Amino acid sequence: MHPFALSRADDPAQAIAAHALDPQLAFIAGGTDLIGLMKDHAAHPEHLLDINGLPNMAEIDALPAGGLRIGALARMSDVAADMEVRRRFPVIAEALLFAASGQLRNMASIGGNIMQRTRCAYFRDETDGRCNKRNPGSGCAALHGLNRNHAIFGWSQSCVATNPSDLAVALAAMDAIVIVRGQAGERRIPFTDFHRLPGSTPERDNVLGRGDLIVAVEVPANAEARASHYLKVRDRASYEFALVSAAAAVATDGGHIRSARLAMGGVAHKPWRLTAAESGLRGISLDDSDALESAIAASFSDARALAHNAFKVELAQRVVLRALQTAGART
Amino acid sequence: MNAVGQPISRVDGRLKVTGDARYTADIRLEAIVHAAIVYSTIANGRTVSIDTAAAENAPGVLAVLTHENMPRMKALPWSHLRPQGQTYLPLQDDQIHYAGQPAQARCPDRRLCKA
Amino acid sequence: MQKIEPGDAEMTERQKQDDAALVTVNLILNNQPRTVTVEPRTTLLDALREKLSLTGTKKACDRGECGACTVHVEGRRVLSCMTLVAMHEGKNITTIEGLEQNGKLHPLQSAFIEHDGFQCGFCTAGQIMSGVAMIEEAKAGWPSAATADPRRPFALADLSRAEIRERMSGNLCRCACYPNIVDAVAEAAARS
Repeated sequence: MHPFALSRADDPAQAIAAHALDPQLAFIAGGTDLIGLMKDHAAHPEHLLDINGLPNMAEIDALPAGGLRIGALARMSDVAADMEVRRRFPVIAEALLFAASGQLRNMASIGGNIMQRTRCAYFRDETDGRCNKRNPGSGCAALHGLNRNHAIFGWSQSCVATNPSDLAVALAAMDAIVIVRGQAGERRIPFTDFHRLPGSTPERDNVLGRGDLIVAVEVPANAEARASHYLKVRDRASYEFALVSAAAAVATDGGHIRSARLAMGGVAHKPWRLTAAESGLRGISLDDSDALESAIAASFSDARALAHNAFKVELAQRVVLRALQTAGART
Repeated sequence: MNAVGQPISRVDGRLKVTGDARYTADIRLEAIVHAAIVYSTIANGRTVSIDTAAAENAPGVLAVLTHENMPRMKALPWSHLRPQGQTYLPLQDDQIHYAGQPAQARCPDRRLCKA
Repeated sequence: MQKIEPGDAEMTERQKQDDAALVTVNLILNNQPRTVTVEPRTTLLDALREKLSLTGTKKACDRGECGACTVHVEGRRVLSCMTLVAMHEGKNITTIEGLEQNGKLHPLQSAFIEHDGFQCGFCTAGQIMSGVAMIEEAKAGWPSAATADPRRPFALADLSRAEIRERMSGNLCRCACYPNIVDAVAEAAARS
């Protein structure tokens, strides 16, 4: 890693001011993505600010109205083990448990998890210089290269990378809210607006700017959360990023879907809500596989495969179906 | 012959489960220096020129070794370390045979590595 | 070619500045107070191996992908290659060298010998550190990705072989001793 200075933040206002003032400063919490990026020479902050000591940012609160407020410094393992998370939002607990490894889950923070950068090999390997995310304007090696792990939705000529966070998929399905404190005060960002599409500026993964500090993620109560499930499909059985994954949640009425929430990972630069499928699933019986498949397929008419990832289009639909059926069994 | 059929613990068992077994990287020597290897990014070709000035002037660097200043190694007629008939030895000539072939070794100051 | 002698490196201005940027970190390492002075970029792994001469913890991938560098920070298993030593001021760190108490092996260390849970032994320290903490996590009721229904409470009695394999999946073994490792962890868990 390159040499850098390291200091500790005592209070959020100080951390925000330092971040706004110095574009070469980066926050470090668990460090499990940032240190990897620095070892790959894909990140070169000259100054790291250790925010682990910031007060009151690691709590997991069950809200009276039925939702959750998860502090940005809460660790993945603590959130996944929390009984209220498991009961109220099993999809969130599962998304966390299917990620990384036991050791990494003990280190990694919730805030850092939703900030993690793509695993695209061209982004993380400095020997091939063509990466618009790392070096704007240098091109995209994956577009016509080895793109098996890359996007089928929302990609552009500039970037075909995917967002690797499992938690982000679950939070997108649950319409969580990211609570950010900045120089202008506190604001609430709907989760589906937090991550960006690459467009012509893939160097920006999310909508945060200098001086922005994620303080918490709020998950409001919803009708579908209790019967929810996260399904992750990958080449290995464990300890690997998703080929595709699905967060499914469903409210039922006598075996028929009243409402559904579906989001996918491994398919786009941000978690991908299947809004067309969600609408089409209303009223469908959980036992009617053909009707379920048709409804799901409506969200895949705009899928655009790359040279090496056409299998994802079919695989994704099957993963959604299975996740939906497992979630349905939890009502 | 008493050991046949008996469950015998490995003689190195205790060493390995306590962290006392010593592997190559665990050995500490006085005045040890470390080398950082720079690898070829192309699979086949010839090194036309190497500009080592910036590396040599970097703080803490003792030396930069390339095929131009590396001591000559004696080619052995046979070695179990390479396939039969292959005469390649690293950093001895300007030929690149594979992507990832060492092209330079930079030795930084041992002071950075001292216990 | 110029012969390299120890101490030949010149103390340039830049090096003097680098020295000024060092940080001093106080740790409680295997129950002993220890202090290191390092560059901020020094990982916990490099501090343990290079500065504190504790080479039991191994560097294999050095990028968070194999688990060989697993140690405990405040009793929780972490990857020492993916964290900076300077971020652990005042913390309790346990390495493989700290598991043995008064010459007596930890039950999991004995179980690894009993069940032949290693061949080359390079991953072993990380496996054992991970396994010790993993058993505590199961006792604390933590579910895993192998838990069919995480909505329900989890207890140590629910720790099946499939659960152990999933919970230990962050520790790779190139010699493929996995079945014996699972045996060792299962025995130690049953005994704890």
